[in-house]
Amino acid sequence: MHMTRPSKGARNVIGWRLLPALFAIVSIVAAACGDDSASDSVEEPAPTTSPAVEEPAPTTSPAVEEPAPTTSPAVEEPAPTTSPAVDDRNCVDEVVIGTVWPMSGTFSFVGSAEIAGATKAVEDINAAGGIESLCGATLRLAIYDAGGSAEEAATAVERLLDDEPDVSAIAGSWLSSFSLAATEVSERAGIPFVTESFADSVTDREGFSHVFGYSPPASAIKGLILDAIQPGLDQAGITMETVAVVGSTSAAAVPLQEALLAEFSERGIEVAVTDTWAPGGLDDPSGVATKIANADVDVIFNIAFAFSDVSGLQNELIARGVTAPVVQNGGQGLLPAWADLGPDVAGLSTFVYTNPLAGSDIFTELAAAIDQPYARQDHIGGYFVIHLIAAALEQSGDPSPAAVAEAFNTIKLTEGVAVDLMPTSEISFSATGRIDQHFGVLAQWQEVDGSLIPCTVYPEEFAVCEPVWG
Amino acid sequence: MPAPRPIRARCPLESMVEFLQFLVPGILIGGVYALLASGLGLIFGVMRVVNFAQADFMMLAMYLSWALFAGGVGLDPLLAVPAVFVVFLVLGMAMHWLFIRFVIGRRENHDAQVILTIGLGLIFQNLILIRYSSEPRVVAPSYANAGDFIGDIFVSRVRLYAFLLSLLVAALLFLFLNRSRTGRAIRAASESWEAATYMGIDIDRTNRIAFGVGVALTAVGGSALVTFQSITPFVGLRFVVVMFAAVVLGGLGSVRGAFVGGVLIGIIQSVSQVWTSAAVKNVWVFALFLLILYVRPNGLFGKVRRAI
Repeated sequence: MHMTRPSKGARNVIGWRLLPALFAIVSIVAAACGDDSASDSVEEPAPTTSPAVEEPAPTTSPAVEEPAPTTSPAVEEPAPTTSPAVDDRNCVDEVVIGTVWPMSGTFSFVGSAEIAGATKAVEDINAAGGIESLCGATLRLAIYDAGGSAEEAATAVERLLDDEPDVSAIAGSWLSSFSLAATEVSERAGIPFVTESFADSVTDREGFSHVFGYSPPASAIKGLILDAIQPGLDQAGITMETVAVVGSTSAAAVPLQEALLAEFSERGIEVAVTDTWAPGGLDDPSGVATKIANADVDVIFNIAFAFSDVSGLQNELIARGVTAPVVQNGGQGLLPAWADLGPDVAGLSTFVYTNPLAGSDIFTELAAAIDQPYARQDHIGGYFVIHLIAAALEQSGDPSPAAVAEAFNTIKLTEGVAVDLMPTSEISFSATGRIDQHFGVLAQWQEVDGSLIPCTVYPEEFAVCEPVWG
Repeated sequence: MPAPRPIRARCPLESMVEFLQFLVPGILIGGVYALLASGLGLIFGVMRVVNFAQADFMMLAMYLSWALFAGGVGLDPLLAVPAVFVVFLVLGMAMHWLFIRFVIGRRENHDAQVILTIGLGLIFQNLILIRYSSEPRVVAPSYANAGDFIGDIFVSRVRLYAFLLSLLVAALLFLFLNRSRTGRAIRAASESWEAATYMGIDIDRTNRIAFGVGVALTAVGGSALVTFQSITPFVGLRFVVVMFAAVVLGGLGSVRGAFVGGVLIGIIQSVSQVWTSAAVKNVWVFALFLLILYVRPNGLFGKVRRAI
């Protein structure tokens, strides 16, 4: 529902003529409902032109649906003692959702994908009637560029807050280092910041109560990855006795590498190669590839997030005839550019929090809408986070950042678009703001219908393809 | 729990083989660095212009090579080198005529040079970002994932071809600078503008050609690089430090020095990984960089005593 604002003069006329009638109605409703509705109206003053008067909602009382004459109809037709018919929703025209993803710099391809998904979500939600609990308020994205560094991400949030004082929530910023900096600003302003970043520290910092992470934390991912690859390894008859753990030194990669190393130590698996490089700095992967090739490992864990790093190393390993399965973590493993490398990339596996799942057409529709060969994690993430914030707005019935944050703390989704997009049947958040359900999928590059695509192979109930390893 | 692997004592021969396993790729990638840096060295040597847009010319060349390969033409990036050279020779000369010539010649213009070339680089990056987005692109010729083992030493085909291309271009550059009239004019201008002017050399034309050739050399390096490096509008940022380090290491103003500096950086980056992580490979590069500048302040083959 989209409300049209009358001109300023019209607002004054309507306001003065209806004032006595509105006062009478409010008095009666306050008497009938107790202090809550009255206090709500004090905290969040309704506009002088009540949306309920302009465009009556189906549940509004007859007294409201039919504009009151100058003599108070409320006195002539008293409202019922219980007031189900009175629309006490906090009606607003639109809700602003800020986005701070990288739109320029090395990681701008991620931001573009997130924005594509988020924009589609806003279109879909608005077309379906907006936020019902806010009288059909429409959503509007305020898109800001996190740039190419953590400092730029923090500055982007500052600019967003200056330009959009009514922002209800912010989504961003993909890289954990960016999100860590951006949330320093959003937290001070008390704005909920909903992020896909998976470094534990993004949500676990003391004093941060407005940061909500919907991807599994790094500390949980190592277990999820190992669980995800084990069925395929079993099927291929591969026993993990020696592994290589290599990757970049980014804020998200290092904790995951350390967690994997600790896990392998506990399981008695030999880590034959460990090596790191600066993010995006593996200009020549020959050295790392040589170490891996010499070690003759069973499985290679390549934990880095710059496509240039992981693709360069993958090419080198293929060239050297290294056939051990390579497992990555993150959306860079799903980029269409992998397909350009040819059939040799078949079998490359990437753990992500979501990927097109079996039994749902929503992913195909999303891909078609954003003109992509397939929807990948970051498109889905952008689409998901807007639906998630929309669900919080529906629950809160109040677009204020405090109310949205409170909704995130108590939300428990078991159905709806947001749930359908993830390999889970429920979505809720812990006290620290991290999603309770630690889920993820393993996507493996495979040839499907003549095209190389990253196909979901795990968990079994969401799998589109069978894992092929060995 | 699996039994731990027995620890074997390593014989010196094994250590030597391992060293060579890292040395050979270092030399090969160093050849490409050398090509990238020689263009920058030529421009500085002749015009004393520190071209911060040089890596972005490389990026543009990588996109051109990608477009010629993936855009329906199917032209191998290494076969596209002559076309890339000509395109960037013209582009470089045009950039000189349009912008660069206004900011060379006087010391007070150095700030303007820096701002101008950084600005050009940013414009190039953002034009490509607008046109192609920042989605990574790859060029995968038929030999992209091919290689040969010589004993235990792996030689990647793409890097070998790129290295051979660098040697070929270096030889042609040597012939051009030493045997052609224009080349000798460029060398003369790099020695002394005043003396070259007195000898009847058109300095503005010489500078324009030198800038074009310098840009084209780096562009050819980009064409070699694109066969094994993914590209984004910001790929230049990954190589700009290496390019400048090679030029300063080899000696400001010396094309030969820039070439040697590039090869040296490739070797250090690679060989250092025998003992340390790839994360610190550039630490070794800059440690050697400081050492060489301490011993030879003008670099290995430096001619310029004072630079901006």
